[in-house]
Amino acid sequence: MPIRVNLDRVLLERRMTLTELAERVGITVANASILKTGKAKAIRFSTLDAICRELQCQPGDILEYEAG
Amino acid sequence: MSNLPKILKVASDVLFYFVLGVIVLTVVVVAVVTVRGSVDANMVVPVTLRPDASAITLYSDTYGAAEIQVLTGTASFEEVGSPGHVAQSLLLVAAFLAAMMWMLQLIRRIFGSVASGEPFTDVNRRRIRTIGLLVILAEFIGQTVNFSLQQAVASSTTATGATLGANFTLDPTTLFLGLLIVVLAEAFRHGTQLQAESDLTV
Repeated sequence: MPIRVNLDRVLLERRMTLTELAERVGITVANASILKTGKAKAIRFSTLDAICRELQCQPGDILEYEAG
Repeated sequence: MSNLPKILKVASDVLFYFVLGVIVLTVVVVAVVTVRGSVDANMVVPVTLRPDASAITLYSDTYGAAEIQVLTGTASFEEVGSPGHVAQSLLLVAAFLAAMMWMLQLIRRIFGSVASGEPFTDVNRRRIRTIGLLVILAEFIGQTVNFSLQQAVASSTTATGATLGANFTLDPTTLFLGLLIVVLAEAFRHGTQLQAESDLTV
């Protein structure tokens, strides 16, 4: 998948655990883990909106496009 | 989620165990009949009759005279002291019921997965396809057994006023139903793909 998810880096910077983020965003820890490990096939705008709100970041901070 | 899948699961469970009970009873009866060595029983077999021209006449004021070409039905032969034939019939019934049990088991599992909120799985797609193929196969096998029985009767029996024959006909409705179920399985394949995508959407 050419879209890389840098969630672990931003979580570390904000000193937040994945479980905490999942709770605040309103998704299951399993889904949060799927996103963090790059296994997700799609992300809803509502989820992306909630993640950016809780982590106080931009979508580009957690999503990166890698060609090839 | 509505209660319908749970209700259907319970209904299919009840039917499954009922059919299982009937199979067990059939096997017990076959064993008893075989051991006893003699039985008073009527043998009911399918027959196809081609009446002689003057044997049966049909006349309607509206439609005129009709020629009856083929009559299908069953003949009941009194048979005393032949447990082999009775056992054979009962075993055929047991085989049919076993196939029905297999289908019911698949249906139970499908309803179970629907009740648990996971209908679109590859396993369910295979179950539905198996049910469709079983329906088609049952029609072919059923008609083949029917045809064989008719031939056996025709070769060993004489009829007055008619000629005994054998007829092999497939019910198009049953075949269409089986095909429809197989097509439904293919629709489930697409549903499974959509489900997999949905599961990986956060």
